[in-house]
Amino acid sequence: MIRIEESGMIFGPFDDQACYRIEHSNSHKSLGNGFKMVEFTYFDEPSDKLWLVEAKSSIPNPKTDAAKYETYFDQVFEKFESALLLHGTSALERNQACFEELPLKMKAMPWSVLKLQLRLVIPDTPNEFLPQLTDKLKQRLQKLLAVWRQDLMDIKVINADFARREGLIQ
Amino acid sequence: MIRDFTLQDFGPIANAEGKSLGKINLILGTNGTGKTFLLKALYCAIRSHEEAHRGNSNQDFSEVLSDKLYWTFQVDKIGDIVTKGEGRKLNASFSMDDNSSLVFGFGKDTTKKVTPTHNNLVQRSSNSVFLPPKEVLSLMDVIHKSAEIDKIFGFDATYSDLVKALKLPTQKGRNHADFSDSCKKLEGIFDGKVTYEGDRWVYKKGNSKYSIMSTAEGVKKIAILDTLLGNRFLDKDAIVFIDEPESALHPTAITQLLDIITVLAEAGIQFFIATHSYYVIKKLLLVAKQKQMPIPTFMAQTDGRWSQSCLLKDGLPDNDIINESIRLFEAEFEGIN
Repeated sequence: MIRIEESGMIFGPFDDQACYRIEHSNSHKSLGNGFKMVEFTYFDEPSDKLWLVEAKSSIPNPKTDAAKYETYFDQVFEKFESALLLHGTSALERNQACFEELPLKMKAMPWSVLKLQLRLVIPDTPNEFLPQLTDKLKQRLQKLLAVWRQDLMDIKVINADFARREGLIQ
Repeated sequence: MIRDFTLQDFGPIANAEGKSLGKINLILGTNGTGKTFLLKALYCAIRSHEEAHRGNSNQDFSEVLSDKLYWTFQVDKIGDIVTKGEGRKLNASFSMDDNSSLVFGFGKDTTKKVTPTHNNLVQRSSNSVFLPPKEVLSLMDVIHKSAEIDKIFGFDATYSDLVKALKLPTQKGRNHADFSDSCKKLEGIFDGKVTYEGDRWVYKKGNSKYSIMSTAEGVKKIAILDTLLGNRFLDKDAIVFIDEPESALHPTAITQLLDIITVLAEAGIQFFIATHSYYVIKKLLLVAKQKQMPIPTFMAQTDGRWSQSCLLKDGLPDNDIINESIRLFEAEFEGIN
């Protein structure tokens, strides 16, 4: 079983045949500099859900530094986009290195029906901020929603409580 | 059920096309873009058809439609409904799911009579109804006198038609299971029931009775749908147009109402909902996902043209309800350290 420590949280435990530490993967490194990446991905076989998880401990203040705040969401977009590209190109057998290093259960994921669960986890965010942060992230990830099918993609900004409820942390 | 429609130069609507309409259809846009106009245009056409061919009525459709347009849009002459501008002509077409259709058009000089260029709509025994943002129960006598006796502008035909529908007595006997369940749930939202007793509406809660005049606006709004289901004005093929369902309702009541609308839609009723509410669109997004229901969504553009997307497949279109919510949040949010 795998446990992943990020941003003051311990994610998991996950089946090591279904969890991919994509940020520290050889495939990610092989792309060279300039590719931002989410922390990890996890395939929940019974529900056909692929979780893509990015953890952060903070969010910039939009009132004092609007540019930094916008860049923050741009970078989160880039991380999810890169993770989906890496998984997608692996599934299409255009990225052999990634395919070979994928955990066993991820090699045959049912891509046509796979429900993509994109989560930005910021542990100490109060509940009342989550809906608007989620709306903001959805706006920023609109292109991904259009390309990867809205009805098979779920995007949320969550805190530690919701991460626990979704089984991402204990 | 209405399947498709096209509206051109219909008041503020330069062009709106609806294809493969759903059981629930969502209409979005800022103030003045023509959401209510769109609802009323659809209502006028379908309600005129229902009324023209009812019972022993000897009115032809053309007369009923002209009358309905006049009393709904309350203009000096019917041609005033046409979008302003040289050479403009209003065109409208509607197709039902049985492939029958209606087409009509007129120019700005038309005064009283609208004659369809095509009409092979099949007779409907079901009703359509328009639910305005405000409740009408406490104003029924005023509306009736103004619209039916004095024949003066003020309350348009959607109001007077609704009043007529509400005056039908509650039917005894077994109602469609989904409808009677929905009535119970509607009554559950405000923990009571609004009924017509003698010559007045009363709100009953437990053993107490209250005058309709002192009853909360939201209670009266919910009671309207409850009454129309109870008196069987609405059946499984009915069409319901709701302008701002959120008006006067608490967010919890809004989502409860939309749960009931979803049940009724699954039972067959077709809904058209125009809204400004964050809760309505968020709840419908959830309904689309949970029920795998494709909810056609119409969004007004600034040039009077309307786009159609699918809430299930495309998600929410870029809209000011969400944008403003984010903007307000960001004006207050100080980040997380």
